[in-house]
Amino acid sequence: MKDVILSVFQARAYPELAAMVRATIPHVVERWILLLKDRLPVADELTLTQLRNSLPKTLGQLAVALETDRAAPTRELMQDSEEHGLERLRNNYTLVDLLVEFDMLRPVLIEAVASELKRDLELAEFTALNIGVDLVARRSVVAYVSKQTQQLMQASHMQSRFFAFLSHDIRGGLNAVLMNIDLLKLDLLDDPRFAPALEDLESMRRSILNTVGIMTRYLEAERLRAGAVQPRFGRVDLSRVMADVDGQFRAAAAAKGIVLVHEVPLKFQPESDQELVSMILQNLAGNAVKYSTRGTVRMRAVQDPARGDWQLVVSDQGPGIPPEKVSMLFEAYRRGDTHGQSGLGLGLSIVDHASKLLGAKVSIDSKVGEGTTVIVQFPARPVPS
Amino acid sequence: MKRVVLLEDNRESRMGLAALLRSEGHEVVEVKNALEAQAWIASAPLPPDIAIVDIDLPGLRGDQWALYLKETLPETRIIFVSGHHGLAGIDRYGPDARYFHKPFAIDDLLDAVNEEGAETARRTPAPALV
Repeated sequence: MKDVILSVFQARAYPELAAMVRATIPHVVERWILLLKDRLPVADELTLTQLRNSLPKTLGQLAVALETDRAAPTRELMQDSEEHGLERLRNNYTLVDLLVEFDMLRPVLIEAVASELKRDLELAEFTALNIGVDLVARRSVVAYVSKQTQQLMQASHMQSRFFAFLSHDIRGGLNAVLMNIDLLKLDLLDDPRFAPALEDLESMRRSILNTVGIMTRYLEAERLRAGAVQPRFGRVDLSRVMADVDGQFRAAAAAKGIVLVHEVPLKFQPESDQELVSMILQNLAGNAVKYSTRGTVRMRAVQDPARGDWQLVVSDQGPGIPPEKVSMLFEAYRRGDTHGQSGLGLGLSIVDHASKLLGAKVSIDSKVGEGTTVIVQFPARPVPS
Repeated sequence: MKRVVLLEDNRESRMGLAALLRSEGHEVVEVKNALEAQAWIASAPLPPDIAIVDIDLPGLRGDQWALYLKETLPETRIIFVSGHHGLAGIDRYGPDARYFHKPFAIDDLLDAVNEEGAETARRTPAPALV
């Protein structure tokens, strides 16, 4: 790619300007360091010493680059500028700190050179000096940001791997605990004296499965957020999915006096990803049952035979959500009014991410005191965004 | 009654699951790595009906060993148990292969063991070697 700044910089040579830059190096370094001490608290003594050592070299390179219209000295200047940016990243400078450095260098250098010349700078000279500073600044910033981006991606990758390993090991360990609880239950089953112990064991078992359920939701949300989930499209057996989700929440709904119903058009098997559709429905039905205290939770699949697209609709007669809270609900770890229910605030974020992967859109229609309807609008054919 | 080979390196998980399977009347052979599993298969008088296979194992991974098993004993049904999220390409292990994400509810696994696999159902029992 053609470097615009580079080509402007190389259009002509500025031998007189170069000589002036060289002559002012000690003065510029001292002025710059004074300014830095004053305005950039992050610049400690070590940094200032480094500057005393490295800035004369940079300015010397700038002088050589100005002196000639050959490309090599300019390239050398650019390379060292990259090193400067990386050094600042290692020194924990922010990007703004890095830019402030150059904002201060610019006037110091231009004033010093103008005063050394004992005349006004020509427009071309003024431009060349500015471009020189820009070149150094730009290269430093690009190197700083590239390296920082790379570090962030590595950190995120490490974090994902850490979660995966952690989850795997915890699951293995808990599996052994569950097996042994089941075994113990079996041993105690025939003796009526152990009836209370059996209840305790069952409660331990439920608690473990519940904890794992929370962990799974958290990891699912992380996988979706990190873009680690690729949809696998095929025919979705919606009746099966609905029946499974119905079975999953039936007991919890019944315990609260809520009626759970589901409706699917006969033999309707749209094209989508069964695992993700199931995840969407689980989260919506889970929320509806969790926050309702009465009435009916209705899960429906609605097909538009003319257009071929379809909807998943989950409605409840729960407390409803005030309009100003609706958009917030899609953010991970944020919740609306909790109505005394515990949770991570991941449900709708999972629904939103999973829907996007399937080219579907989520909308919420809610009235406080009347209930909430969530509609996920699926395309006839999946168009992943 | 099913003849089950249980390949699991975690001792507590293995012994617990084996005991639960035995309590249901199944015959269980416990092995803790692919090498042991292979040695047992080679010397067993009858092929197992079911192999319950943990995926993450020291040495050869469970899913890799299962591919070999499927090739040599295509009628043995494979049930994977793992702490990993899913197993891509489970179809390679036959239409009745199953996957359980640890920790699983034991009843679900026992149901899967008791299921008559499509292939197992068709199989005529091989005569026992005496």
